[in-house]
Amino acid sequence: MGSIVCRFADVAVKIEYLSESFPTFVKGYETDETPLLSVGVSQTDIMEERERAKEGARYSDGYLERLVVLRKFAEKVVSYGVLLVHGSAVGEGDNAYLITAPSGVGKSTHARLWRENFPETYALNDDKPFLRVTDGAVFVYGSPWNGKHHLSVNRSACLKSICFLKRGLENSIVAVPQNEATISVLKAVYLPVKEETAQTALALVGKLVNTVSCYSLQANMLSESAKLSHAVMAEGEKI
Amino acid sequence: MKLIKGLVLSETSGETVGVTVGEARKRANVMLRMNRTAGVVVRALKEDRTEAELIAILQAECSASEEQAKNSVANVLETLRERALLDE
Repeated sequence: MGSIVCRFADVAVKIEYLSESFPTFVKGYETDETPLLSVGVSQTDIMEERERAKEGARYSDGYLERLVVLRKFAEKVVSYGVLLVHGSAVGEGDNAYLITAPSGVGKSTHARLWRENFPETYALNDDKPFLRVTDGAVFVYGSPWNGKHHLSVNRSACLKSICFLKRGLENSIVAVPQNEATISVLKAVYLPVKEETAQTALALVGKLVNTVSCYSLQANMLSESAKLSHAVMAEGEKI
Repeated sequence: MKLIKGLVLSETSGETVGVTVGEARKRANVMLRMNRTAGVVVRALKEDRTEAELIAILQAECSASEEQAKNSVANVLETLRERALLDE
């Protein structure tokens, strides 16, 4: 149908798409840079994505095409030190904080509580941000894959901390040792299919947990839970 | 015996972590944290090994007695078999 060059996580990628709606989906991420990567979508890819998705029959080809592009890009971009993560990234100035949990636990709700209680915070990406892992720092990037509330901005911020969210009646937050954090982060990260690429992704996760603080957060999803997590994750309050 | 293809191992914060990827995930969807002993045995199983070879490797690398090494190898192999992570 057509092709477009976009820039996600500072990596320019040429995308050969099928659906008319695809350029609208990636609006704001187009670039005239020379692409470092290329991703193509076929009707077979869309069929396979439909089989893979829960209740795949109810999704449009256009929606499934976006998942195919995300999956293929996430697989290739690992070699540039970039990981795709399932989580809600909240920005505050040039810093960012990541909330991860399985679907339905309340990542977006907790992120909204941050925005409501701390007006200087913003949704960097509410569902699938990219993380660039470098020596000594990790950066979070917005992406068009931004969840059901479509919350994202095309900018980056330095990741300061991650919390693994659980729902509870009481609010509590505890630091998670690096070795325990590794598994929790792996559960949130897209793991490439190819063994050698997955090996690189695991090494990036190892570097990530050595770089940022990780916390286990139990939250009742009221304002007080956001005040607690913000105090520890963003203001550096001692636990 | 050896590990199935698609079990990726990494050393993080002094521990070995194992994750299945790709086709291997359909057979066993696994994320494992291993202590040092288990890590040595599992890493050795990247190549085809007999149980006796694994015991010898563990004795050499962890200064374990033969009895300790036998028990540790048996425990690790049992876990790997339970999780369908071995090709035998």
